[in-house]
Amino acid sequence: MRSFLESIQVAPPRRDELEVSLFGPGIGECIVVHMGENQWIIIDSCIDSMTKTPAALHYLDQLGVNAADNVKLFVISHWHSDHIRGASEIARTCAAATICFSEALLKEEFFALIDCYAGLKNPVLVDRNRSGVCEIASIIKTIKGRCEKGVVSFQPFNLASADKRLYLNNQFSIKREIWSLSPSPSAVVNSLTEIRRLIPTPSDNEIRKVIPIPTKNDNAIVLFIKYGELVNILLGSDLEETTDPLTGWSVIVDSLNRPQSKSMLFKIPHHGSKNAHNHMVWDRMIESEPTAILTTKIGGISSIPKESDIKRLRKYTSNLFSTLDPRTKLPKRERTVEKTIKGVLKKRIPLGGTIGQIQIRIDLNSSLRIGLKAPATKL
Amino acid sequence: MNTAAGLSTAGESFDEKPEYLIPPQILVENQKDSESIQTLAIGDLPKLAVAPPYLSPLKGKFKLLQLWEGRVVDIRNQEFDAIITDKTNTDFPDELVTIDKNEIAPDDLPLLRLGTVFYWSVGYLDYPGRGRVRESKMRFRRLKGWTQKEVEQARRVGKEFAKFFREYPGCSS
Repeated sequence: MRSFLESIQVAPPRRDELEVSLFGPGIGECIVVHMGENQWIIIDSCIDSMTKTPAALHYLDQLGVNAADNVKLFVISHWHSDHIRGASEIARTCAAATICFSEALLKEEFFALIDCYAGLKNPVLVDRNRSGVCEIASIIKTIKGRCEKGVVSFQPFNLASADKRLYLNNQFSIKREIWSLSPSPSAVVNSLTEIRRLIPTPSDNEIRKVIPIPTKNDNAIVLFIKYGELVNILLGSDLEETTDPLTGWSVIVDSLNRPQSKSMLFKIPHHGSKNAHNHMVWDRMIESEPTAILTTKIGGISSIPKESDIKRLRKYTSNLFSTLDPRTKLPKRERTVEKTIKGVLKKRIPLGGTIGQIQIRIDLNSSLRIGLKAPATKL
Repeated sequence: MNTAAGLSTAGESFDEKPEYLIPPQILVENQKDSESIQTLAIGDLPKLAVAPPYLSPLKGKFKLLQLWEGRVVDIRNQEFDAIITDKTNTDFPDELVTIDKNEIAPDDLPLLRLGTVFYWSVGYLDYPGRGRVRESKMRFRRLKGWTQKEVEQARRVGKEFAKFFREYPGCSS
């Protein structure tokens, strides 16, 4: 059963109720999951432009949830760019959470890269627009600090890789699991190759740059959530399809080591872009007529999802929801400045804006209640 | 008659020599000998044009209206994309903009590469006597890159951190 609500619920979910809340401000995204019994999971981070705080922490605070004690897992599926804004604050605040990231991010090449741009050990010249490297440096220091303290009742960090269980809770006879389905070993190797390429080359003629935005999302962590016997959820992160059968979605679809159940709720990967589409995912991993959710990405040569992407996705489900902000407006500046802007810029797109939320609560009988917070919308 | 500082108006008599030299082209032909250059009172000259005041480029004022810091995210044939951060209105969100390469000074064009940082200022340029000009200027940052020593140190730190986490109990992939 699926019921559609006008707005999100501000009371916390029942103890036996699963919740998935997707936040999207136009660039970046964040997912908050209630795994039952007041145990929460956060995946990625984005900043609420109004409150200037991480959307996940702001939401949990609104629900009256103590993030420091009740967030048990924090997954960083992207290390780069604006996808991890506020992630270091989440890592610091959620003192009882295992911080989980891709295996590639624990290699010496990655630490060297982060040290160059953000200074892991010694202070370095840090660029103001550092594409998230300072967030990562701060998270690494937080984890290292917890490891050095020694006495913790939980694992301070964990590495996500293909077909690995990251979370298990059997309380009250309800089996709750979270699995990572990626990155595959080949994807980790590809990711390390890119990281090596990004380490600066010392040269007298080189000027200091910020880390360029990556062209691929090789390392994105896809998650599968199993809640009891009936409820399965696939969170597609930003993983794109590739021509290599050992990376991307193909390797996940073909894996025999992953949980084989089909999902009723699908967070569509990479904002519904064509690059992230694989028909076999819908065919073999998703139930028919599922609930599908996505965030928009404003930026690049064109924003996604495009109209053609929405049309394609509607063929798979009529229950398609997005955090799209159709009302994003350009901020107004002083008149002379506006005149000059019009004369100089060929195209202009604001990044960020009002944050939209899709809140989905599911009980053990797989009944769904969907609430939207503007500008989130049904597509 | 328009006058400049230090000049006397036409028709006035002079008891002493003026403080300026007459340009050579208006000296009387037989006085062109450099050793015998002498000055003439302005009243003796036929309709001499009066030069405008000397305009020092250093005396102009720039009134900044708006400043952005940008970083280049994509480069195409005639244009490039950049994410710009408003340094004047810090509450405004970043913007992704497309800019024509013609907006970049020729000296800066070699610096247009992925990840490079630039500053874009918009304002009024006021020079005394020349009116007001609206100016939009983009300048690329010329901050020196990483040294061999810095990169080597980063690699050492990388090894150290990787070892720490690799040896931490419970760490497994």
